[in-house]
Amino acid sequence: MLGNITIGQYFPGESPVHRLDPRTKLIITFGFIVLVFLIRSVAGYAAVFLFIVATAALSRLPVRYLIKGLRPLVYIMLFTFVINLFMTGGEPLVISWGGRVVPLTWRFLHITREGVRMSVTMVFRLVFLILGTQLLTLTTSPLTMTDAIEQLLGPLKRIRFPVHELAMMMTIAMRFIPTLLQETDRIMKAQMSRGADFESGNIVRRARNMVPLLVPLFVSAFRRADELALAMESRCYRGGQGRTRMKILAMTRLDLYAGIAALLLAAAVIADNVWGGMLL
Amino acid sequence: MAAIIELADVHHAYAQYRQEGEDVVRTPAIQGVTLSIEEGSFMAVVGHNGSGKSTLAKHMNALLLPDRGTVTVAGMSTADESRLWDIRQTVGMVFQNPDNQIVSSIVEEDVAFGLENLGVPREQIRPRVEAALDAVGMSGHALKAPHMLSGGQKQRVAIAGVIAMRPRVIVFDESTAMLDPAGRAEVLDTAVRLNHDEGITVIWITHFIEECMAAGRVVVMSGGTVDMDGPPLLVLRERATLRGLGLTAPPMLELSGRLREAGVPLAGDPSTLEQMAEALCPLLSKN
Repeated sequence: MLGNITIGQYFPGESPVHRLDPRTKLIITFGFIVLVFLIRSVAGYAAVFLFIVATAALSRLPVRYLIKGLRPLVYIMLFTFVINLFMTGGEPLVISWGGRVVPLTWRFLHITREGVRMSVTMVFRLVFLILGTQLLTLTTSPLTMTDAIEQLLGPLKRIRFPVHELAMMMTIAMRFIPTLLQETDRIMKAQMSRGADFESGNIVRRARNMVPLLVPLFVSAFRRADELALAMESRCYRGGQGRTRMKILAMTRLDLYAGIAALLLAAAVIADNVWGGMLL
Repeated sequence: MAAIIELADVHHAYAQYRQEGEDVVRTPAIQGVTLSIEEGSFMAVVGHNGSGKSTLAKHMNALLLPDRGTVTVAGMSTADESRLWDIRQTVGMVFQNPDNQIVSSIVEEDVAFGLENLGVPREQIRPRVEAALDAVGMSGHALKAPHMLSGGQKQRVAIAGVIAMRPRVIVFDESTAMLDPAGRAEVLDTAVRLNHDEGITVIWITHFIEECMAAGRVVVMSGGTVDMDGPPLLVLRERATLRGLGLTAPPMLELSGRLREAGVPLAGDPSTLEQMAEALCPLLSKN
């Protein structure tokens, strides 16, 4: 039941995308997110789509893994689609119906040319966003990702921002995701064997039925935190000061190529916005 | 051999807060423990729940400080805060729950955690991590995620994390309590080997009395005091005393004691199934 969560999960591998420096991937992904909202033309979407497909192919991830990540967000996409389709202002579209021309409008709902365009582009944007961030999380181990965040935020240490503590918290959180999932599953089965019902009733009832699941989970999480703190202390953990690291992040030629590819994509989309963009 | 850990008249009580009156009730956990632990020895501490054995363990690397009395580790008093990290490096700890002592999502990074905390130069970390994983027989799992390992394997990763720091003493605080029999054997064998091959002092806290047979010295605790102390065969054959402390002697020692009481002239102190068979067969062939 809880086994189908792929968001934020790492899929180990040795592909060029896996071997990229996580800092490169993080920066490219952030740039990519911004870029997706700048696209204005079909050519732009095609370029971004090609970039995604090429990256996915290079990453050698199973396609079903990427598709699976889209599934939980299908409703959000549908919702966005419908809202944009009916609520965007403009001239209603007309269709011919048995020789008559009928405007596509009913009370306050209108389907406009702008609405159609808006809803389609929003869905594409969402799909690209999810695929892009998924490519990042699936190909980057949580730990190297934390290292990358720690290093990229490094300058903030000067204004006393707790960068190391934040990174350590993320490391531990990620370490305990599978442990707590296993535990949730176990508590669920234990409560179900005593007649707890997690699946029927309306949403309020279902939420209330979650209480006997969440209370033991919280109690155990606090106990784990306590024990982990003891274990960390007995292994001489005393914060970020004076710590060394076994692994350091190193950029390679690969990062250069990825950077160039990303810059080319950005240049293409921006150029298209400035000089082109007349297609749709 | 010189003593590496000395406990002198150690007392410790936990504070318990009551909600209504907010008065502090102090529950004594250990009351006047004096022990001297020799370097290179293998000492088992056994006792039923609440006997104070885990509290005792936490005094050995300054996770807890004595209310009264002193704990000295390699000449350093645990009350001396300036030596805290030296003490914790000298005495490593392996805890009960294998899941709650692994920090990282990758085995080798978890083993490196202690070394990173100590500020060991980067080029020395990897060889030490590899040697530590090799010493516990986990080299093949260096890149795995901890949740993919069995309980015994997780505990061996935890041991690797401790020995990478090159401690002189390892305290196992009921490290086998949550494992299946195979996992328990794995962890105990690892401890025995580290004691034998590397000369690391092992303090083995347990409530499985049969595990004490691996030790050179057994300390039995009850009600926060040391009640018995000596070589396993001498301590564990005291069946009546053990029973009075809520413990049962290991099965074969129990059996040989009962046989003797029933008038069977058993030779020696058979403590394993094989030894028992060897002791019994001559008697059978005589009849």
